[in-house]
Amino acid sequence: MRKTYTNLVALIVALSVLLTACAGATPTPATTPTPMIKEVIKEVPAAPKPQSLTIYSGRSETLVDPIIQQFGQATGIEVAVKYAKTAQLAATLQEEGEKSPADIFFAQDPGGLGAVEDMLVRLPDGMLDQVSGWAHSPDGRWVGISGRARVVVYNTERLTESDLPDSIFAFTDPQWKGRIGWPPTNASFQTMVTAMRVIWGEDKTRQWLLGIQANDPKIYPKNTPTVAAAGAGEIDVGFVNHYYLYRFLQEHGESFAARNYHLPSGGPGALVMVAGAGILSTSGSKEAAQRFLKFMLSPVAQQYFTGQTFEYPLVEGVKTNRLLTPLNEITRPQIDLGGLKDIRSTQALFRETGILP
Amino acid sequence: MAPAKKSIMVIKRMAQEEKRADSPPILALRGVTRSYSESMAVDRLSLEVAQGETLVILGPSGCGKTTVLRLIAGLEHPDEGTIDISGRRVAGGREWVPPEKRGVGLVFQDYALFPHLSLSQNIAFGLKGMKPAQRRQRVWEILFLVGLEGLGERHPHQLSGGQQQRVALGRALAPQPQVLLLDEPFSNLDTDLRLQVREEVRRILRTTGTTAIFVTHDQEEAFSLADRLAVLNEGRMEQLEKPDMVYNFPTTRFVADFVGHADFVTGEVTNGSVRTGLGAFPYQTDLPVGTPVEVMVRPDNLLLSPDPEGNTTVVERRFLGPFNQYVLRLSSGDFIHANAPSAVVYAEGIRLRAELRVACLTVFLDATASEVA
Amino acid sequence: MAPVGRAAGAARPPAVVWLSAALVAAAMVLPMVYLVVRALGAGAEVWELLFRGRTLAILARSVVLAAVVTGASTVIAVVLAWLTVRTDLPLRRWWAVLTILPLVIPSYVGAFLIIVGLGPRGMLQQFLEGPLGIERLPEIYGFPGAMLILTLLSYPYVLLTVRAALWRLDPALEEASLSLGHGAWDTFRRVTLPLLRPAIAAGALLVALYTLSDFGAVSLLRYETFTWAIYLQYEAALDRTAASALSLVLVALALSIVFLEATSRGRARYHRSTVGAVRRPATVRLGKWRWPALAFCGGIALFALAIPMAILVYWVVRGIAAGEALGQVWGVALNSAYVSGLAALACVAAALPVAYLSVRHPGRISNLLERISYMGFALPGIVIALALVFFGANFVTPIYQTVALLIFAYMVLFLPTALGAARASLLQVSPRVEEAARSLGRTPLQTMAAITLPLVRQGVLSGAALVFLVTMKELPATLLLSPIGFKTLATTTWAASSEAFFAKAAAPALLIIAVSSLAVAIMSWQERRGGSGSG
Repeated sequence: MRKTYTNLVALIVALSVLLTACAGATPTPATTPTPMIKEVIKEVPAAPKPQSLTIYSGRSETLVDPIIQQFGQATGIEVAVKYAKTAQLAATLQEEGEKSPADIFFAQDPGGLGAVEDMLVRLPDGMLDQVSGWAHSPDGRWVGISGRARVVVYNTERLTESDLPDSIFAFTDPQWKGRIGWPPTNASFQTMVTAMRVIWGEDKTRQWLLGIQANDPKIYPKNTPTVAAAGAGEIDVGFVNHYYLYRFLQEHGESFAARNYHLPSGGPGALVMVAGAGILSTSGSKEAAQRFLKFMLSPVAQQYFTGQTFEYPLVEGVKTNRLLTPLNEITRPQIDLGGLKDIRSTQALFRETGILP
Repeated sequence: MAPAKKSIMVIKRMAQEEKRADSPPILALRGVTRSYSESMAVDRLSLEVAQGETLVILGPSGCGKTTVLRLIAGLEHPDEGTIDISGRRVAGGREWVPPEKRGVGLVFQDYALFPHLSLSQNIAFGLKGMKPAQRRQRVWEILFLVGLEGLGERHPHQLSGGQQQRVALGRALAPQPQVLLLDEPFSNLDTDLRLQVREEVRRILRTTGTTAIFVTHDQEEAFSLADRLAVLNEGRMEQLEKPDMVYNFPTTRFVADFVGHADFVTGEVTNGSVRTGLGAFPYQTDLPVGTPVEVMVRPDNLLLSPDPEGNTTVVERRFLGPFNQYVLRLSSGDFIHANAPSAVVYAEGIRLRAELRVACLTVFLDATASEVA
Repeated sequence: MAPVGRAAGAARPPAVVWLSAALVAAAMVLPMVYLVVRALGAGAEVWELLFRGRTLAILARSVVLAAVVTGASTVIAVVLAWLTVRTDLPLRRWWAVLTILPLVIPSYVGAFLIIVGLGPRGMLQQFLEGPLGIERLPEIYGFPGAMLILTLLSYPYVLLTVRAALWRLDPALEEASLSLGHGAWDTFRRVTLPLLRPAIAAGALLVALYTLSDFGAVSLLRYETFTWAIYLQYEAALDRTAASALSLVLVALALSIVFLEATSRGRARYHRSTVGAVRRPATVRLGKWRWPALAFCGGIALFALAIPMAILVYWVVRGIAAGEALGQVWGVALNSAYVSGLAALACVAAALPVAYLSVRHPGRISNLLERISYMGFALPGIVIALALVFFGANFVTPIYQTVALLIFAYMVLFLPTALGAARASLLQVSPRVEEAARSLGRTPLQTMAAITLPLVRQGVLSGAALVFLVTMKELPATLLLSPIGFKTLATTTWAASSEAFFAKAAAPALLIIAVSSLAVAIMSWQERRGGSGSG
């Protein structure tokens, strides 16, 4: 009896002193779902020895896991993925520095990639050339994988497309008072404002921010609740990325009372952005990493993104999902995404206008 | 019953065998000092306790008596001074023996029984290095000794206060400590029970020949238990003697006042005597004639008789059961208390003759110094 | 008589104890070291950001929210605790479990569900629109919503500590007050409530710190707090330097709250003497007050538990009807239970030496040690996670992204939840009992093993259960520090809900509640044993 207690104390003490005691414990790996696409890539011969690849994905598991699994099956490369928010993973990469176990950073937006640009290697020209010049970083450290357009989501019970203006600037008109929703902390939104600064200049951007602010916009933490609010009639219009709508349509059916509107004026309100990826310079599997990027730019993967996640393919010759307005019908501003790195000045503008603390 | 009697005899014999006639003190404190940030709890205390002796430490609350026990038990470190148990230095200088290695038993005021253990487990707690059978035998003996045989499987919360007290004593006695320390062990019991348990404890200590130190603020308890009595005041030892000596011949005004009731009658040294409001008493001293002094008067040392020419007047009578206590005013203006059998009643305002009947006069110099003939 | 606290301080604590406590404290200091390292690299613009009027304004918003949520939680919790411990409320054991359960709902889920349920054009509004034609409900965004949801999700912290304190309250004290002519309400106000003060303060501290560090609810309900501003620096500005500088301000605020709580402990002596049998206080008969009491418990359970769960069930059912597969969640649930269990063990192991020092050897150092342990709980999860990413990847590379480091992170985050329980139960153990063991020949360590640990076991177990609950829903540290490919219920819920796949998110969210219910059941079972048993 007494001995057991002594042992217990010893155990507890040991635990508290050395939490590494449970280092040997192995987690139960969650089983992975079967990939949605059954075609198998035949072009890649089996590698001589099993390679492995570690991906930090700021893109959601629900969206990209099937295509990553397919890459693993096609190449025999063992792929491990850490999923979290893009910004958090960027910070994680910065904290890890040279010790990072990651080979690839797959990010939701160019901002996250830009934050760790100096940790990425330059990609081969052949790979960069697969996408248009605006869709990769100017010095070739990351490449866009899929495209996403900025849209105005509107409530169909209150509005029709003809009620909506040509330019996003027109929403500063007092008639929109109390009818707008926006997610000012969202990375994509902030990228759009950065684009405004580049295209319109500081003054007009400030004017826009103050104008919208004067219209008493409802603030949402991110795109999803903004779209939901538009569908629920909580707001009449919201500034979001295009693809969230389609998930609501998928889940709630056609009755979901919101649709996307692509601003036809070609201003920053119609910006097309990308989710992209880069290879860490500390990676020990750069060759496998390149194969991964190549795969993501292959027709199969591109088809997957437009078909399953409602995004735009960035490689020539892949057909856009028929539910989406094709890229060539959108008048997007002529601007390089690599030029939208100056988040700090955008932040300063947000603070100056009192939109963010 | 037979085996139990036998084992108590064994306990007794074992205890006696350890006791040698010319044995050194089993416990010795020398110059022990312990102070807290704002106060001195124990101040240069020295005392010795002989094998088998019962020492009672008496003092008002806050006098440091509990701290003395905790120092002996090793629950506190002395700032200065040394403590020896059975000739071994346990505290002082660089020496330090932790409580568990001192062989000192402790009985706490609130008993501190282990609430999650049965009585048997509580008692067996201090028995180490024994075979299970031996241990069971010992626990049984102790339960018998403290009169709780058959209750071994109970838990502390199922017992009355008196029973808990006896378990605490039994638990402390079980490992046969060299010294048993008891901190106000009866203070949580009601009066009737207290008397009964006290006698019981005294019997057990005598039976086992245990050396014990009690701490109490109850005088009657102190008198009835003590072989020797130590009076403590503000951390200092005032007097250490047999109880009757302490009562009859207090060495300080504090002891005189604290132990039993005492009045102090003002007087003056004359040639070969002291003159007071109660009369003059023969007293040999080197003090110069005319020195103002005070004579200690205990209420039970006065013999009263009605006398219109008497030296006192009755101010008040208090009926206290076996006797009446009178408050008397001396012609000198001093007030004194005197006890008389309850059958004899004197009305207030009556003049009485009060005679001080003592073998030896206790005289104090003014308020501070003391002098005993 | 020597004063209790100081007398106990006279003997030195065993080396193992203070050594492990020092190690725990060192672990707790890691995030702050990280923040200082990061903030030192800050340029002038960060300091400018820090010392703006607006920063102060946001800080004030955080303080106001924390104060109001703490106040509201305390009121709800004290009433619930009293009703479920001291009265003849019908089904009170059920209420005891049901009213603790909201604790397990992650705030990002709770807030989302409140919006779906009570938001403009939400389920309630649609329900009312038909028969009553109500087209607008009161605004839930901003302060009211954030306050409502955070109160509903965090009052159980106070409920737990107050319930435990009520169980062990000496009935003689209340009886004395009644005998002195004070009525039931007067007695509650003048005797019971002051006696409960340390317990209330301990729970309220957790509520206040939790509110300060919450991001999920305030971001969904659009109330800009200081933690929200910190997240903004990470997520929108990608600026870890500014985020660190802001976090240090939060540390300062949290420390002052912790010290405020410490003053409420006063010099009270908690352990009651073991003399005489332990009595249970008489049960208060509610009479006709039974119905309002039931309505109160029911109302709280409805808003904090039933409505969120009903929505989740509705989504799951709809998801299954639409052919959604739920098969994978069981393995994930096992993962969650596994790491949460280990976290509970680690937290208890770390809490015991710290609690022991602060209770038995109170002093400047041991108090500081204890208070530092609250910092992990007060900081946003992302800050702790990134701090451990930094130290983990660079200094203990072999255990980086293993379960070991993940558990360590949980310990840094949740130690206070175990610490409170450990402290409370240690305070119940009279130091005399330990001294008795010493005088009977036991070393300090043996005394701890044979006496102290068995006596605090029940309290410590409920502390462990609490850690288990909060670990089940933890997100940022789990995302960044878990082994690659390791999924928990919380990460699965997040992954699905962040992309608006609600049906997929609902099943793991429900499982979080289900698995946690087991822990709550254990906790309330222990509590009853502790309350009526031999303690």
